[in-house]
Amino acid sequence: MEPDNPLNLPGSLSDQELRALLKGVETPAPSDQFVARTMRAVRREPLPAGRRALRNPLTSLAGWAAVVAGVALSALMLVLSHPIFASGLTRLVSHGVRIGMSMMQFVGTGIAVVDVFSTTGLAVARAAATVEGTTGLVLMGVVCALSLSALRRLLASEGEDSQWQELS
Amino acid sequence: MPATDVELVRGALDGSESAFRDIVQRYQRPIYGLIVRMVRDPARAEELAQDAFVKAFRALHTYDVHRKFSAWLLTIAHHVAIDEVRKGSLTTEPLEETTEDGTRMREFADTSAATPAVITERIELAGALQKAIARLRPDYREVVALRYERDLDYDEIVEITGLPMGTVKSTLHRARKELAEHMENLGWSPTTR
Repeated sequence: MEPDNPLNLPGSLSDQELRALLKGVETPAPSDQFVARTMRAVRREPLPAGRRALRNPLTSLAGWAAVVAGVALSALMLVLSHPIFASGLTRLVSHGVRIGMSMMQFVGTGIAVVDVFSTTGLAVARAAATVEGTTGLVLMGVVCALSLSALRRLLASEGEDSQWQELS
Repeated sequence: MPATDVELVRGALDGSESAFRDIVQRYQRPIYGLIVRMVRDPARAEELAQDAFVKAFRALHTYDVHRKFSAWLLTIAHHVAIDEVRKGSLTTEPLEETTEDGTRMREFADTSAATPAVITERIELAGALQKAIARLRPDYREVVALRYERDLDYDEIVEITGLPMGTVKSTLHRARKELAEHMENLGWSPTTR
């Protein structure tokens, strides 16, 4: 049985009809490795005179890094070879090291202090969490409140003469 | 915004590897598509497409920026494929087995409204078309690929193939006629709707 032709295929195809037919056919594609393989072949190819060889971006970057490092190293060697610059650089380096050490000590001390406070806070919090600890804290609070109240009453009693005043 | 062809060519001439890589990525399908249509062997077509890009790279400094770059590149691919065809080194496969020349069938556009039967029928039609194209002569296959797959106009086909305008038109006419005959032989005859 002949299939029904959805695009009304004629005896001789027209330009438009063939285009419409071929739109349904995916164009062939090379394998995934095609670009990498082609680039390898291109790199191997000898170039005509006057043409620049292809540069790999990573190779260029590494080249520039090497140039910068070389220049920096040369400048350092030049500076170190001169006595004045050498002593100046030594002083600069020793100051830098000393400042670095001081900063490290400061930071170390700070960390130790914070550690003491945090340990104490943790111990108090743990103690307070027990029944005995809570009772002790409540008792201390009550005693403090009573003491403050008594002191206040003592200071506020204007009608009574002080023992100190009588004596003086 | 992606770089233009001319910018990429200038970059590659200046030694930028990424510029030429972009060119290869951009044109791998058209170049390979044209060559595989002519030689019908996917593995050989890949080798030839690679040759075409290498030749293009070597000749990049001769490219005239006033010309269309795709046409220039397809001209190189055309010569590479024609040389292969002339060498006669092509492995001729039985016609029944030539449908899978590296291409994959896909569903036709607007299949959402179509019934499964219609979709199947359209896929079969695409397969038949691949078979019919594979039965054409290499020069017919080339002009069909350039005209209908690459969507080029006659002037561009003339530029790429180096054939006179009249020859291109008559080749296309004969190719269409032959295609219709092959399609009929494969069971796809005109409907009387």
